[in-house]
This record gives sequence, structure tokens and C-alpha cells, in this order.
Amino acid sequence: MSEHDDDRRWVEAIAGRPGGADDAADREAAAVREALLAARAGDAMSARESEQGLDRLLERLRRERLLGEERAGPPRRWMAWAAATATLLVVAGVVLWPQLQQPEPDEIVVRGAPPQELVDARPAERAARLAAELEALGLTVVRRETRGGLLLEALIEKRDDPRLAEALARQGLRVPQSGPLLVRITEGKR
Amino acid sequence: MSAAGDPDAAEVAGLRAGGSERAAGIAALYRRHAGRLLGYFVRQRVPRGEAADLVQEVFVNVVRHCAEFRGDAKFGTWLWSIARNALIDHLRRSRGVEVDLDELGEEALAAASPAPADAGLRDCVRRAYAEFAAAHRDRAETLALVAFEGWSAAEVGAYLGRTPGAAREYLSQCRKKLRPFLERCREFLLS
Repeated sequence: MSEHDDDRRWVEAIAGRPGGADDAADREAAAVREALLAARAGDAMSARESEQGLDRLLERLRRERLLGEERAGPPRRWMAWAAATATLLVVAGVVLWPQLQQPEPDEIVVRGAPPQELVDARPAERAARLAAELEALGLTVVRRETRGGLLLEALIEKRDDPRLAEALARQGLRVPQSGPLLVRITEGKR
Repeated sequence: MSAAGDPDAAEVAGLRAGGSERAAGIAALYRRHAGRLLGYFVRQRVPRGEAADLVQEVFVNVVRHCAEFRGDAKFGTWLWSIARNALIDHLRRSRGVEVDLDELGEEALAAASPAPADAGLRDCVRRAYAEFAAAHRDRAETLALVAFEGWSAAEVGAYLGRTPGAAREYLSQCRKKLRPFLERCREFLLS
């Protein structure tokens, strides 16, 4: 493998997409990724700090008249053109879509236990609730969209924390024996 | 570059719609990203109060320029490029000179302290990375964004204002500069 390819593989592994070769380079990238996620664990603002900052921001946006009004509709003479263009785009999309469809990127795979699966009618809301619960316990949570759902990755510092075990058990999940907690949430009826 | 699967897409659409949807959109984006932006500025040695002001400045610029965001890259990439420019402007104002973020890091180069003999791989790499971050703050932040945001080289290029090829070279250089710091962890990596 060339140095160029090796570097590219390393960066992919840092991004959470390891190539699967269990060698020193992959182990190094996995350890660096873990260090990066851990180093950012303290970045979350307290709820109070966040809401105060948001109030200040909204106040400034109002003062500077940046919140604005809903955009007015376009002049009537352009509406027919807009409708015709939209129709053309839809037709072109229907015709070209099967040809343009690319294979989706590989799913994110992180060393350790395989992802635990949850099915929910509203995956985004379920992911947000679970992430908030984990963040409240001091975990750093990374959210990703993957093929057919959402993937939550959380670095676990204390595997024997009973609060974590309880929080996960309430969701039908368990603390993994090694590696980060990975939960894939897909859309479907519970 | 495609912004397909952008987790911020719905909020950005609200932002661009204006009125109450804009307020709701910016509030959601602020809650999602402000903490990490604040951490980014603080790690770049901006005093916390000024860092909080910079976070405000970033979001005001997001609203001010949202019509220019074409959606051909993910919102997060655009947001972080605004943050980086805000930081450069801030440092330029406070120092009164042109600023190279990576050179700034060199000023803080700490002597590498040997890892304790019983430190495991995780501790060893964390220490090594902290020292690398002190020496190369901008590179360390860029790698952190790759880890958190899952960025490709093209997205790193959009953040740095470089071509994808130049971004790949930048990332290779990051790895080369990190390598000496990780040297002491080699025995753990090979075991």
C-alpha cells in the first residue's frame, strides 16, 4: 500500500470509518479517535449557559432586524416559469434517478461490539432523547446518519456505572463489554 | 460535494424561510453546535468571555449570510469555516498582525513528558494527543472535526478554504506531525 493510500485509510479511520485491517495503523487511528472524542467531552455547555447564550443571540438578532419576516412570494409573472421549471426537474429526476443512484457509502464500523438495534416510528426523536440521556451522564455522543437509520456512538469511561446500566436498560440496551456504545435506530413500528 | 443526509438540513430550511421559522431554526442550531464552538475557541486560548462573544458572532454571521449558503456542502462544514474565520479575525485584532493558526500553536510547544510505565494505550495516546494539540492547535482541531463530523478530505478542504487535494496533503502532514508524539505509545500499538 502506498503512503498516500495509507494516510487516506488513517484519516477514514479517524472519521469513524475504519478499513477493517487489524494492524498497528488501524489500532493507532482507533486510539487517536477515542482520544479526540474524550478530549471534547467537556465541550457541552450547561443547559443554563446554553439558554442564556441563546436568549442573548435572539435578542441581538431582533435588535439588528435579522430575524426578518417570512419571505414574500415571488411576483406572479415568475410563478408560471417556476412551476414549469419544477415540473421539468421532477420529470428529469424520475427519468435519471435510477441511472444516477450511487451505492451508499459503507456503514460506519467502529472497533468493539456491534451496534445494538432499536426500531422506532420516529428515529430522530428517539435518538435525540437517548443522546440527551447519555450526555446527562457525562458521555460524549456522536450522531451519524447511516444507511436506513441513525447511529449513535458514545465513548464509555466507566462501564460499571450503575446509572448508565439503568439508563440503557430502560431503552432495552446494555453496556458493551468493550469499545464504544453503538446504537443503530431505524424507522419502523415498535 | 453533496450535502445529502445533512443532519442540519431541516433547521437550515427554517433559517432561510425567515420569521418564526428562522428563530426556531437558529435556536436548534445554536443548541446543537454552540458548546463545541465554545470549546474550540477556548482551546485556541481565547478567554472564555471573549470565546462566548465569538460564538454569538458566528451565529449572527450564519443568519446574516444564510442566503449565500447554497447547500452544496453540509451546514456543519460551512459553520466551522465561519468559526475559523472569526477566530483568525479575533486574533488579528487582538495581536494586530497576520496570524497563522498553526504557528501560534508552536509557541505553546510543551516538553513531552514520558508516560508512566503502567499507562495503557488509551492514557498514553490521550497524553500524546494533548501535547500534540498544545503544539499544533489548528491541526488538532481539524482532526477533531474529522472525528466528530465524519468529514471527508473535500469537507476538510471547504473548512480550510483549500482544494480537496491540498486538504489531503494537509491531513497527511497532520499525521506526520502527530507521529513523534505517538512514538512512546508504539509498544502498546504493536502488542
